[in-house]
Amino acid sequence: MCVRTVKPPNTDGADAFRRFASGATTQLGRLAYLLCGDRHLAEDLVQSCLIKMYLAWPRLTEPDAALGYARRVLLRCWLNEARRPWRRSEARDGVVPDVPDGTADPALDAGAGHVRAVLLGALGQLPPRQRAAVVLRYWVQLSVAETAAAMRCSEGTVKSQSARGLATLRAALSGTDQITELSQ
Amino acid sequence: MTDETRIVSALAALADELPPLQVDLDQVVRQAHRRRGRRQAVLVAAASTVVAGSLVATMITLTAGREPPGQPPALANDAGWSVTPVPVLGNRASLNAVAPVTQSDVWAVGSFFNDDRGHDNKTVIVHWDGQRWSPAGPTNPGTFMDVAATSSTDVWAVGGATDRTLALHWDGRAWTATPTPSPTPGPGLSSSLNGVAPIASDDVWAVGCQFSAGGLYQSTPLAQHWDGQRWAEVELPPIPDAPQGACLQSVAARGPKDVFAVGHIYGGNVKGGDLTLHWDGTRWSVIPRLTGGTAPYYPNKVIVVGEQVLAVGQSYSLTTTSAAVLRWDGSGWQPTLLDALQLSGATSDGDGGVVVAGQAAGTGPGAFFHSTGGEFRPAEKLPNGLASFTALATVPGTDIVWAVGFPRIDYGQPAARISPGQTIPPITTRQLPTVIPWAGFMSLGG
Repeated sequence: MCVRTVKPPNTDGADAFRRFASGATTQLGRLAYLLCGDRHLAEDLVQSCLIKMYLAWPRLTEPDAALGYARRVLLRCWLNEARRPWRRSEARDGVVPDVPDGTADPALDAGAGHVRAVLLGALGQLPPRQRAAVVLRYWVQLSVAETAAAMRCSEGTVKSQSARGLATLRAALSGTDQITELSQ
Repeated sequence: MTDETRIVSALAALADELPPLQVDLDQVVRQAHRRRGRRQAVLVAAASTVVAGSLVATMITLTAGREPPGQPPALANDAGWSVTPVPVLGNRASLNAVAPVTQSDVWAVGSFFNDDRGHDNKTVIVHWDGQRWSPAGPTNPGTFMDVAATSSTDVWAVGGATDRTLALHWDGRAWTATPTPSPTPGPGLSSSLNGVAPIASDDVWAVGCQFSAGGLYQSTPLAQHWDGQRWAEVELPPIPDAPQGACLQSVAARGPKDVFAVGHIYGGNVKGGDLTLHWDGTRWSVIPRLTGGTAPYYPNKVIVVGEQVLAVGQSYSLTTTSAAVLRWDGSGWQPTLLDALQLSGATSDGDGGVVVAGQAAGTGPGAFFHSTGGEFRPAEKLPNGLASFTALATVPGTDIVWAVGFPRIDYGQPAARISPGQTIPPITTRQLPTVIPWAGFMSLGG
């Protein structure tokens, strides 16, 4: 049976926005965290994103779809942020980081905590757009075409950026594999 | 568990560990109201000197205007450009290259985005007969990356599918797939021919690369040669300082014994940068990379105009990405940076000069520059709503430049300059973007 939900008249957009925002904060926060790797910056990014969403809200006729739109806004916020001169620690395209040296402190190498640290470290070394491509493709699970649209670049760029990003992560994580095997 | 699922689950675990965020919605609303006031002031003041990034809500206010859905992108005679709709492509396709033989015999190639996951592209070949574009070639799995012609009966299209390289030939009557020495297929392998340079009907170069995704990520550049009968793999020298390999993007010939191929070197512990190979009639040799300055260069396209050799691409510095033009001085590249994000197209202006095009920085229209020998100057006008150029090519013997690109990528979001009362089509969460490729031409003489 097809149930048609009757929406209340959109008399209170501000209220609808608040419902959306409180529901989406966790999701957007996680996306922001994967993009930037920093809890506090993630909070700032979500806040900027929500401000922009609030301003755009009257023009959204389909609030149900607002999350997808908010993700793109968040991505722009992050890419703009990543472009700022003081974010110099970001690796640039073509610079693939070292595979983390697992022998440095074997005590730290055990278990999921290590995988997490390695992943976070490897993500942190990806250039922003590579990182965005990887997160959108493999965490949000957007298609190549959707990712290209969100990143405003060609599909080929998405493919190469995510392939390279993924390769870096894979190389980093393969280090953790070997360590796990050695420690067994 | 495969590597990919392992990474997916590791990402999910990382995301899940984030404690609940403290976002104060009252503060969000207050700040939004404050910014709205400021933005209105800025918009009035900034009519001529807009720095896109400094405007709040940039995405909403500065993206290109949206036309009602269903209308063809009929932008005829827009700012000097004659825009030629390619209705056969629908709204989910990309055009990657264009090859005019004459003004009424133009080929363009690319791919359809065929499925929701984007894994299943299908090849596109379309032909312009002087009046309209028509579908003109097979639609098979894969993507065409380049097309080039020596005559109306000798046209090559190259690209890649997931498991092999593609090379198709047009003899004036039909497109025929020619077998290429594709690398041995394997899990995670993909290969593509990204550029083609036909010198004569029995002397054609195609270049690209093979990615291996197993174990340590590697990309191996490929060069293949057509001798009139078959394609053969041609040995390339080892690329120094390329721990993760390299990929060739484009090839151009000054003569049968003077061929340039350019691409990207993928760094490992060292920086990536430009890859240039030269064919002297006997073997390919590596041209030393550009080392001056701090930023590596990544050329996307190489062209020959008369005796000049140029490559265009981008350069990444620590903080910015800039469009780059490299001029060959006989022994190495002389780089120039231009004010744009990247360049992917370059061609002759028909009169000894060069035009280059790509993507502008920010949300502005595409980048298009002209040099009559010296400095590159930006074009004053670009067609409305054009977001980026993917390729350029001149009709031989004329000053007419053909271009393909994207006018806009429309993912159903409300965009700029929405007049009050205008209805905005609904957006759906998992909607595929509408990508309407653009093709058009302009006479540089005016």
